Amino acid sequence: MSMALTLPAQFIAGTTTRRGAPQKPMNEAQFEAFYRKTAGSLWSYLYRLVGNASTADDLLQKTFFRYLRSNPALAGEEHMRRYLFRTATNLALDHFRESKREKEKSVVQAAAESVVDERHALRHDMMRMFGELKPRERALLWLAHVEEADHDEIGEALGLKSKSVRVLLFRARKKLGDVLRKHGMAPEAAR
Amino acid sequence: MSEPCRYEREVLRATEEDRWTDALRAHVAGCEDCSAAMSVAPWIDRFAKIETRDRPLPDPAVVWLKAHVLRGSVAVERVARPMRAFHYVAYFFVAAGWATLLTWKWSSLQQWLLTFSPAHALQNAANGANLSVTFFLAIFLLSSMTITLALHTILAEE
Repeated sequence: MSMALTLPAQFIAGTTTRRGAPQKPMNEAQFEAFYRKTAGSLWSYLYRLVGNASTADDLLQKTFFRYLRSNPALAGEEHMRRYLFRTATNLALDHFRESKREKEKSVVQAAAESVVDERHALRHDMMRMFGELKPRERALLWLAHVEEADHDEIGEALGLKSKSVRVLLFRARKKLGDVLRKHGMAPEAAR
Repeated sequence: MSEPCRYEREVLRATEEDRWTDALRAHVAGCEDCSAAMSVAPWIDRFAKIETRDRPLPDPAVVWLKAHVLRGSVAVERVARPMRAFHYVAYFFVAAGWATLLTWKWSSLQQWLLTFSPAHALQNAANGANLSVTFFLAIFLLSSMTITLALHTILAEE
């Protein structure tokens, strides 16, 4: 489940050149390989934040536009990973600020998606429950649990101090626990 | 609450794989961070595994192409910025020129315009208008500048 990037050296032109050699910008083939490796997990993250597939598509593309504009040849592996998630988070939060109806919008959009079969029904219910959290809480939980990011990485992605991440993550977990309890899904207890 | 709990990752892994040691279980019982993490981890894990994509991701070739088109338009925008500033300054000076000229010579201009009526044409044929050549030269200059600026604006937009 972890998306910790272990990119082949060919993707990181800036880190593989000889000392003093000019750094080549990322070419289309390198970008495509990088995109195929990262876009899936980034899209999942965005979809869980915004609750709408089309919006997640748009934000994903915007994230990569910004990434390409930032001269990725100069970036290392860790930097690229952090940059993508930080940019995606900022774009998602901007999206909420622009709409100014974040909760209603995400929940309504999630609800508006077709509930055709059991798989869709499960997705719909889970999205609805996750949508009861604030966008930042969703981002915190997703980055900590699914992307397995440490507190520094989460702090960087969300523009928070890592000390604050601990407190906010604890609150987000508690809140999700309350939401699950409210919907009759008791959180796991220590075994 | 200052430093993150160093067992948090282990607790999450144990929850995912359902492989607990007594020491870890004892730790979770006394650590509220890990207890909270453990309580929601299975649900988030299930949530992360559900299939959410009904269609393929945007094509990387299209993303690459769009990014380069956008980069080009940003560059054009940057280059066009001084030209746009020049246009605004030129609009201001031409508008100010017209306003000054018309205010300054308004009464003379009115009289001159009246000379175009048939009655005045006969009456003032011999007198001529009391507007100087300089005035007509200024009119000509301002008109030329206005037309040039308008053409320049249209061409720049195209």
